[in-house]
Amino acid sequence: MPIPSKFNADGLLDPGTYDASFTDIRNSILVLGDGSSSSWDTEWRAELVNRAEVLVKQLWAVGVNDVFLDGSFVENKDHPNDIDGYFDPHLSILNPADMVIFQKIVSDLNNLDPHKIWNWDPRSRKAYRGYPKKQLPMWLFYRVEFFPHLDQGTGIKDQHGNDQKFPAAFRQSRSEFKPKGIIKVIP
Amino acid sequence: MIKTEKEYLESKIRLDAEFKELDAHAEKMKKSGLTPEQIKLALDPLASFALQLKEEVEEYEKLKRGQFDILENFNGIGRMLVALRIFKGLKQKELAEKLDVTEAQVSRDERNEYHGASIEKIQKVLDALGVTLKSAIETDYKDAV
Repeated sequence: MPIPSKFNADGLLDPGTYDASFTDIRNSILVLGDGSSSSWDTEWRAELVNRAEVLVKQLWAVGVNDVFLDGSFVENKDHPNDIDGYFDPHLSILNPADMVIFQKIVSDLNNLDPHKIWNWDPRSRKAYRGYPKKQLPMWLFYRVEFFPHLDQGTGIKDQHGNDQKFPAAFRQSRSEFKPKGIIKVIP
Repeated sequence: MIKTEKEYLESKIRLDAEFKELDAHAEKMKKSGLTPEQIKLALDPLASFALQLKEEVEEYEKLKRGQFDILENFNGIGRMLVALRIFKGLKQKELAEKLDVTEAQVSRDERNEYHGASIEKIQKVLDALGVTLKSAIETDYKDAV
């Protein structure tokens, strides 16, 4: 289904997973806005899309096709600080054979990226002016933060107290657990 | 950035759960025959995810105590306005009343970290909060003709 033409009353996309190419995203309310804000930052949002595209294409190149965009980029925030997302290589962290495949994926990704940013080691994070949380290398270079979904729980609960995995956790607003729509990027 | 007491309390609960989840995963993984390198690679994303939330929670606590970072030019002025409201112990609704605008308007302004706000609007918020910002001007000596 196409990206909605309006954000809902909560400033979110209506719940659902919207398949969209980068062209679709650039022509959607996620970059152009829905006309409800006079200070919408189309230029900056377009820049975030350009940067995310670099990393998404790296993921596609190593055979990871299920890549999703979430966070405040898919909400009606004028000037999101970054672009968030997750990717699903359909592997489980509890399966040693799967982890061998994941190691190879990460190694291949770093061979593609000139800055070798595919790394989630907490110690690789650095403080960035004015931001309370230290940021991963991928954020510092691209303003993008992609997490791998490896079939692991996150500690984030739904409104019933059940533990959620990234796919579910990223489909609700950060506070109040409101369900929200996210984007699956397609070629 | 955590902006309300409600979100702060929710985040604290979430943080506790995230670290518990991390420990539970580590235990499970040790039993699953993975190498230490594989365990680290699998846990790093969750660890970074949890630590980032921890740093946001700590920031909110710092702001409530009135520990502010130095503002350079207007970078981060919007975040500073939110931080000052938190420090003053005002709810968004109470700031809205002082400004004579709707709570929804303050909520939206803060969600946008006052992106695109006019100087006049920023001044009104500072006045409503009863705060004075002072500038220390630093110029390059070659500009100081």
